[in-house]
Amino acid sequence: MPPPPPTTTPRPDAPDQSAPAADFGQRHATHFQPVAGVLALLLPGLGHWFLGYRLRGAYIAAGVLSMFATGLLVGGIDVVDREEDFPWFLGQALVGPVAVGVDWVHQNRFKVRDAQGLRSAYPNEYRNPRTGEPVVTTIDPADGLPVARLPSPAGDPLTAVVVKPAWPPNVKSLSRMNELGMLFGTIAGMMNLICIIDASFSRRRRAGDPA
Amino acid sequence: MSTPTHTLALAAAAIAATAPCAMGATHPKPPLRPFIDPIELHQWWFLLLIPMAFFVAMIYKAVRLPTIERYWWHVCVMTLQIILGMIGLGAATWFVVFVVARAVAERAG
Repeated sequence: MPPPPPTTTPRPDAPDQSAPAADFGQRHATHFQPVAGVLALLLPGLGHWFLGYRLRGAYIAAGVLSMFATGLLVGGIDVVDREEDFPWFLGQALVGPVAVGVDWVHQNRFKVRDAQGLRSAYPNEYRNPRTGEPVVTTIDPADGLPVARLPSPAGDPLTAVVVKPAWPPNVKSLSRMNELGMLFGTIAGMMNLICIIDASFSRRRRAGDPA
Repeated sequence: MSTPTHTLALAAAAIAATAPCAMGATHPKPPLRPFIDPIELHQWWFLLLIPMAFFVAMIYKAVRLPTIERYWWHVCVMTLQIILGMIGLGAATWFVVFVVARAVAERAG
């Protein structure tokens, strides 16, 4: 009777051959991964996704982007502002192009432009979508809604455009809502920095864990 | 009791809300536009610690855990740890400010 084949107990850190990306550990062990780092900066979690940690990448993306979105939900778009809150924006920018894009939209689509430059609209101002200039609104006594008369491009008062309701482009957040909204975005960026570093200097975690 | 910062912020909000328009009437507030306008959570701001702790735990555990098994369990445990830790830090700060510092000030005369 032939002896049974020797059974070997795999080492705890041995790669799991059954996993679809079982050799990613050897391929990416403790090496500097600039591509993964850049991808992680472009979109949260994309660096880990690139390295084979698909589930981790999905969790990171969900966490970072949800946190950033919660900040926007709490404080409005006013919490991402590189002009007025630059130190906070430095942290928020670590979320990636998403934060930069939100700031661009805030600066170019929500702020009004007057003689002093860009600023947030006052509660009684409407933003002229064509020029970005503030237009002071009046209240329609019939229904209490704000009305704005936009000047025509040719300066003809007969062709002025009346907008109703003419709400301000956004409401400026104050007090704790502003502070907490900025804090959410900045913490999201700082947490994403940890993920960028982790993706850039990838190390083996455990065998059979390309999750 | 409201802090001076809180009082100033409320005063600024009241001034902004009652800024007279061209016709002298109080300007109406626009309907809430999510992600554009801030939400009204001034009285319940501390509840935002819960989503903040949850998201921090979610990101940290996605990076830190050696295996992804029982991921959500670890996230919930860390969320609870952060919340309890912040409550503990708040209680400790309250104790230092309102008990220790007051006792030291009274002893100093």
